[in-house]
Amino acid sequence: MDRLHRIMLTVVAALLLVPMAVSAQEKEKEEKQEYYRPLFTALELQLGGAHWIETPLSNLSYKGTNLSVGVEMMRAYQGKDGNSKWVQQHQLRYNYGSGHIAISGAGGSNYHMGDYTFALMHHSTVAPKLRLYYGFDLGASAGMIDNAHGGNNPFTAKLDASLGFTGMAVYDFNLGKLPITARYQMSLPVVGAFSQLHWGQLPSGFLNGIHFGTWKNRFDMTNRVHLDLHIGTWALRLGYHNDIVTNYATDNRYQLITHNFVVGFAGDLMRWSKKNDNKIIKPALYQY
Amino acid sequence: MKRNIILYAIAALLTIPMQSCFVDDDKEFTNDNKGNFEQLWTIFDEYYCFFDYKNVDWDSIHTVYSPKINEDMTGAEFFAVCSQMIGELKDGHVNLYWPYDVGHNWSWMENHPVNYDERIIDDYYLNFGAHRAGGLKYALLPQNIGYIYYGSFTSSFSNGALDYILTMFEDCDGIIIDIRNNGGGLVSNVSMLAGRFTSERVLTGYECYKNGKGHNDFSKPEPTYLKPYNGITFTKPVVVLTNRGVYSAANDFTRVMKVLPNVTIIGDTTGGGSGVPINFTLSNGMTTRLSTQPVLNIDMEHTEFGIAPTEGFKVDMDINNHTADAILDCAIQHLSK
Repeated sequence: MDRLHRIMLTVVAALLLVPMAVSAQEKEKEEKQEYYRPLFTALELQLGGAHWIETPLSNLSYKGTNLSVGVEMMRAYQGKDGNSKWVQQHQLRYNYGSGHIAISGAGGSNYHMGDYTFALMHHSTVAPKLRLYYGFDLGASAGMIDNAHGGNNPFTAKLDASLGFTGMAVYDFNLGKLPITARYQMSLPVVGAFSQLHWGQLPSGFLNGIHFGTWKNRFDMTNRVHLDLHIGTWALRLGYHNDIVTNYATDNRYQLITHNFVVGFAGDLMRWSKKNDNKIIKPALYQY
Repeated sequence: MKRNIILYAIAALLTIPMQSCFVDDDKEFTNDNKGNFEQLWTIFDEYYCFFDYKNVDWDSIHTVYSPKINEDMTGAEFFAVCSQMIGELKDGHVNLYWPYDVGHNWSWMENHPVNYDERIIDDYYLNFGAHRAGGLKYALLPQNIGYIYYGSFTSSFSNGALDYILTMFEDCDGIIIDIRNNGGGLVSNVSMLAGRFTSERVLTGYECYKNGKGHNDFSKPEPTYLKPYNGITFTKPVVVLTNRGVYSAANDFTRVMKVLPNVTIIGDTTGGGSGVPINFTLSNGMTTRLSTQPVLNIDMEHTEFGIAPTEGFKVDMDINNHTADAILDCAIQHLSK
């Protein structure tokens, strides 16, 4: 076989294989197109009370007002066959608090905290209209607490990372003609790492203040109760959000507890396209 | 199924009381005179770093001062008793603040020679011809010696200013850095200035911090180093002039400079103040300051009560002699050799 023949055979073989590959791709595409996973999105404003203590700054606790702005996003996990029972959740929040010494109202302290949580949850329907979600979450937060007294210790920086369990119960019901989705979610970190400075330690020694955390020296918890009132394609969110962050290291105590009223908007973001017409909508939280 | 749902609900509800296991509060303190006194005493008990070094029995101090506190006291009376109590620590970094007064202890400076008079230097050594760059006052003395007065480590200066001054003193036989009556300020200015007088990285001491509530709960001392400035430096003989008014960051500067082989400390023992102070607020709004982090010299000794001059260079000046500064004269003589 001369060189020309070899080239021609290769070209013909390639031309024959292209339609086969395209056909396989289309088949695979068809399988994937069966499900459409909208992005559930909620934008929240939280306002409430806060109580905190950071002993490197003061041996007294402070109480005041907390204001938070948060975004929550959820999406059904695709999985191998596109019909997985898992959902992923992202939560991003900024918290600001301002207050005074709890027992007197003197002094002043503020905090700025940002936190992000990623959760992966399996869900199952345990009763008509009642679904349970359960899984694990990874959280990280960073921020600072300042104290109005000045000196060498006007603030402490806070860093935290955690791994734990999360779960939620979601129940759909109607109030008259108004469909409502009620939800309770709890997050319970189990292990992690957190910063806690030693007394009198200057910021230059900050890295010495990172500690491994378990329930022996830290306990965090998040509780959220929401009612999503479905109005049209979106929902008005009303609820309660409670956060507890606490840790102990080198005889220091850091604790921040917030109780917040929540108001916001939530809904599934969907792309309007004819391609999606034949797909089965696979929502993360709401049922249709 | 209903049973499962109830179990899930109970499990979720059980986690809520778990909060109370971890949520502490500060019920032990009240916002009255007794409560504020206890807050103050406790802050010192848990955070102050020199109890053992100063041989202070803080419990017995509580026994002495606690009965003096009652709810009928005025704010001024409460302030006076509390200031007296923390004054027992004989620490210039220990203060109590309220809007009408500041509680001080001056024992580190009391009954010691003054050893400095700026007017004598201006009149008889500088002829009122000194230059100023930020917090630095400087002049070239007729003996071909550079003179720099730095009165407070809270006053800033730039690296550009130091470049200019050291270039001006480049051909001098030596430099005198006069820090008498310098009560301290920013520690960052210590390394910025001292780094100009070494060409090598030098071990200057150690620092440790409290890592528990016990009076002796300290971390392992960590070494601290002085790095040479990457630019214009002066490594010929240098004299640092000190008196009892040298405190806190200025005391720290003396500690660092004393390690350098080209530096001589002349004058009186410094005032001390080697504990890094931090502040706390009481529930009545008063603020207190106290030493919490000891800084040690290269022999791992505290310098809380001051740093002695270089051996053989303890000099006091006669403040009644209005024409001569014996400490400055000694420095000029030392550098002119």
